[in-house]
Amino acid sequence: MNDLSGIFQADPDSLALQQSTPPEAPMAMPPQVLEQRPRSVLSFVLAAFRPARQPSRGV
Amino acid sequence: MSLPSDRRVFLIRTGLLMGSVLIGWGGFLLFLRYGAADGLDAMDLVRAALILISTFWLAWGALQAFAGLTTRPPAVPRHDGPITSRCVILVPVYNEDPAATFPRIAAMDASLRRTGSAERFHIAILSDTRDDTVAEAEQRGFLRLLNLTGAEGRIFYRRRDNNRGRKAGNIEDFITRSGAAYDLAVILDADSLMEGATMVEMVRRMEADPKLGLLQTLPQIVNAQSRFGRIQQFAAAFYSPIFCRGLAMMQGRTGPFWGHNAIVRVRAFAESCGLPELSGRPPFGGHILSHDYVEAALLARAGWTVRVDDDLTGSFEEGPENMVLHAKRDRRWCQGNLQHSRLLTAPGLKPWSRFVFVQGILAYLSPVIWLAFLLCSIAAPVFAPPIDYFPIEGWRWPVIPVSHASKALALAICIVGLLFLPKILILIDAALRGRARGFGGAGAAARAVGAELLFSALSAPVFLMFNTRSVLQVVAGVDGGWPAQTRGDGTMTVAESWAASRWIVISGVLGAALAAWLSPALLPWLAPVLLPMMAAPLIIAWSSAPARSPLFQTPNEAAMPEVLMLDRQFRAIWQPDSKVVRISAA
Repeated sequence: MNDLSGIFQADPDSLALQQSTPPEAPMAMPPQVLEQRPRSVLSFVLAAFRPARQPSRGV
Repeated sequence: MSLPSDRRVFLIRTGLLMGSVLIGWGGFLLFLRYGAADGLDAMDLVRAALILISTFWLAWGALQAFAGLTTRPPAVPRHDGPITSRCVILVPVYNEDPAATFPRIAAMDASLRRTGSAERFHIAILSDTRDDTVAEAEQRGFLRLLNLTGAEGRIFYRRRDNNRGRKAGNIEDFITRSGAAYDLAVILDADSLMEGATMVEMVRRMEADPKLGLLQTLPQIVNAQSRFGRIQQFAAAFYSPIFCRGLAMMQGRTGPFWGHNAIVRVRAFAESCGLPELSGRPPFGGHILSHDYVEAALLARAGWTVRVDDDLTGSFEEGPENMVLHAKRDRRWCQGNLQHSRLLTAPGLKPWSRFVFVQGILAYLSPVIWLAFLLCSIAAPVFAPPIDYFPIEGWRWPVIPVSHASKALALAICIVGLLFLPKILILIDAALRGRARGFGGAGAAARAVGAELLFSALSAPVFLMFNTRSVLQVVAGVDGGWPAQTRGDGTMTVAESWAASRWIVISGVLGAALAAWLSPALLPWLAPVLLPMMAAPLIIAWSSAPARSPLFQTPNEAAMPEVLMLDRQFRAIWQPDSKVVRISAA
């Protein structure tokens, strides 16, 4: 039996709606940083020692 | 004259800010002298502080109008050649009536075709509709739209599976799926209308200035039918261009975005405006409700220029038809603006962007401050020290304190002046420059301004109460959600108005009783606030009725713009069973 579905569309309105979607052309939209990360008291205390914990430039 | 330089913008901002602070400080001192007549107490200081903030805020608005009256639009970069950008017009819809929205789209498409540049524009209807019945009507409406316009391949329709991020999420969803296909996007609301020529001009300005990330127009309210709607429509047409001119003088590179009737550079928007969810629960956490102000701030943070060009005409929207719908919309905006308090310390924002957030917050806190001032004034006698009739030791005759009521009167006159003077100056300016002709002439414009001032005075206490309730709800953590916009006729009976405002009437009666008990001398001063509160249902019902008077004519009614005529024609033939007629684009 011949397949006539490509010639006679069952629901032309449905097909028109399917073909009506905007073009596929993705573009990244990264979320922006709007809130400062809360810093604990400990992080303030440790801040003074931070250079000592960092590797030297030569490493 | 070219665009204002950064230095000039800085000077204008500083001058207007200093002027507002000085006027606020003047109000503060005047009130302190009034309060000091019978000895200063803590309540006097509290009231003076409230007057300082309120008067500063009023002065800020008034000086913006003065800036608008004394400047002319600067020349902006543009070109006259054919446009080359790929543009898309985004129409987000959310449970809107397709029979109202889709004819507008057809009208804008026809208007664009008349410019000869329609092939550069696609139109994308971005549905966030949750109601399946409305969604089916949208799909039928879309097919009918294609049938009417013959714009297959240029007009698209898509419905999201979920509402993540609401309107901002809807736009973001489009950009992440289709953004690379376009250079520029005109962002509209479901009730927006724009002339094709205006959109082409916006594209030309964007093409001529590669650093311009967003260009905002000043939409005019159209199609108002009720008394309230027509008063708002008149006010938007008569006063707003002057206030917008003043705003444009202060904007520099950090202008406003009002969420619609604007054009954005898609790449700039995608790179800068992805909105995160804020930590915590609504109303202060979760989705960013008033996303437009934040997007403008983010574009400026990324180095893009954001601008409002007040000389652009042909940009329209519809407004609420009654006071209750207006208050409902304000409830949403109130929550959105108060939520911006979370973003005041966001990293990297321009100082002016932070100040814009403060302005938005103050706009909604200001009525609450006025109400606090009134309540403090009623309660003041309880805190006042007893009058000392013998302040001089050894003096045997009583000393009657001198009344400083004249200072209170002077302060009241100054405050009313700050409210009314800008509007009266705008009227004089319109009469002298001929702008009043579009409003039926100087006489008709003067009558309309007088009636608008009277209605403003009557409706202000009612809005003050609606506004205060919104602020209290948000502060109490009540989320307003995302109700669909109600548009249309808007007529309310007195019974419906009573149901919506009886709490305002009761508040007014209680306020009057409290004043009669604690401060009877204040009653005449409080009458302009308390009487409209007690008459709130009548004011709401009266103003929601269809307008029959020709008062409040606007230029768009005197000479109807092309896209509005097209909209009417498409609406007329939109009925499902009527014969399809293509409106000539020639």
